[in-house]
Amino acid sequence: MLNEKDLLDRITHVRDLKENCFKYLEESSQELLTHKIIFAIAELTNEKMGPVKLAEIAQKVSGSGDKSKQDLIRLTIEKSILRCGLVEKLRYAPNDVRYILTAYRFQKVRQIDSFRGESSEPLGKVFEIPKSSWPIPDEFYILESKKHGYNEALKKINSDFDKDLIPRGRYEDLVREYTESLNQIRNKITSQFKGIEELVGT
Amino acid sequence: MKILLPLSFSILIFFLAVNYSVIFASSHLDNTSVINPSKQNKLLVSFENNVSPSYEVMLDPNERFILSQSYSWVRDETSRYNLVSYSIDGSGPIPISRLARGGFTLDISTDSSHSVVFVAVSQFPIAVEGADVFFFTPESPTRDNWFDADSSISVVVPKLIEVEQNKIRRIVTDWSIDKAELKKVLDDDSEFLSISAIEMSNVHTVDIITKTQFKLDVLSEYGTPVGEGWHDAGSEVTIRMIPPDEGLIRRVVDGWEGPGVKADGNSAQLTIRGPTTVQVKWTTDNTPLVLVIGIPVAGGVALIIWRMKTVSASVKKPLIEKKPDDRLASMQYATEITDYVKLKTLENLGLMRDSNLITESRYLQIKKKL
Repeated sequence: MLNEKDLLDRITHVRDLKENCFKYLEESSQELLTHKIIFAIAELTNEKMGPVKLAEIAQKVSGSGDKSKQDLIRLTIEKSILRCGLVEKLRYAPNDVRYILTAYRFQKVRQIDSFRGESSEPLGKVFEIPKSSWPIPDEFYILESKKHGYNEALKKINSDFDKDLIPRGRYEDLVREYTESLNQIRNKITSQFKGIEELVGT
Repeated sequence: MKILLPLSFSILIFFLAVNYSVIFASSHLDNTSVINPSKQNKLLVSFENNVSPSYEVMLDPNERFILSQSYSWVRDETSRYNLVSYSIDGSGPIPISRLARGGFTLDISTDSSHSVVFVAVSQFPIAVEGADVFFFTPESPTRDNWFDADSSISVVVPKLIEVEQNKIRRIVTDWSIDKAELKKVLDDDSEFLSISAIEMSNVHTVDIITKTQFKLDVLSEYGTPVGEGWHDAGSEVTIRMIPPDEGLIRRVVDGWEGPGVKADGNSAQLTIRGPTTVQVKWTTDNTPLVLVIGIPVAGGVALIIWRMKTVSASVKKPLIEKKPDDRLASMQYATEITDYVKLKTLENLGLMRDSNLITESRYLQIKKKL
């Protein structure tokens, strides 16, 4: 299985895609099998927090995991989205192949060939796979929610003290205690989920 | 001088003659070592079921020998043979990667005689006409459109082929195998047409019949269009507008603009000959507004005053404020704050769910952990 860092790196990394590959992500392609496969892989990876098997993708996309459906999905992956670099194929054992998205944010680019060599030019905004499908561990959301809880509690403690609802001694103890807890949470988010907080915008 | 010239010429001839004899002798010596039967090893190459003639090759112990065999070769006008495995000196079969083209090579040791037996299977091709995108399932063993004899395969074709995004598309309507009777494509939810159980005991052709459709877009500032979307090429289409329900200000269709559009009030007809955009023009009918001008203003004013009183009464509800209490100085306040943290934490998690940052199932899963 991939580790947590590898999964998070796939979120923070923006992958360049040529126009003919970027089309698979666009809304106009949402009826196409390729589009469904990409989003199914994202949702399944989010549920399992790791790469997913062909049978699971077939079940999610077509509601059936039978062999013919799997063959069709495998061919679609191999012939299009794997070649485009949208999906990565991982072989865990001779009969255990799994798939995962290479990134969750994509930039459409136009390839430019000139005498200076090959370069690319970005086109439009970065496309994001819906955040609800990002493989972010539960711990991140727990820490973010607790951070909000402690922030709100500190505001209330200050407000209650201003209204003379609590004595100074109790107020200072509580402020110290909750500020310390809040700082610990902030440090943990920064060290374990670097870059994620800004992207998620919680 | 007359004597010296013939002499030098004679020396030259002699020198050349000696050298040639040395070269010839050396060559003769080499040939003798190659064709000496006592030092010869042999390689016998044969094919199971005699799918190709057997042959023998002499092996020179002093040289490396690479056996080369084409992956595929012609069987008859409609089929071919394709290599599957080989065995050497009676060993068990060793599989060969299935490839359509190119040659399979095997490094044969020349220090002794060997026999190689190749195993090949017959293959038949299948052609799919009328569709640019299609798949075979299972995939061809040689990764092309040729399949092993007696295998059963399916051809899968997307029912919808987009020619130009949101403008032109092709819909698969019928299909046939080997030019037999056309069969209708079922109008179900399936995204693909699957032509299954094709027995590969002969060459086959699958014909895919499609029809072209063009997108009709209706641009309108107001109301709801009926009849826009995809239509068959050449079809006669009627479109109409359902005017918006905006109370006193009534919107009325004033006209239609588009190629070949015959307008008739709220509806219009046209023949679809390509991707088409039709624009609807609107005008305003103020008659209902004029009719209600006579309604007594006083009644409305009274209603407004009454409403404002009701609202201000509800706004002015006394706030229940906590008064200073000695308990707050105690540990109980700390417990209240702990509960407050939990409440706000869960509230934040709920916001994450409401803003689609996390799914409902994920929300419930995390909530349990909190």
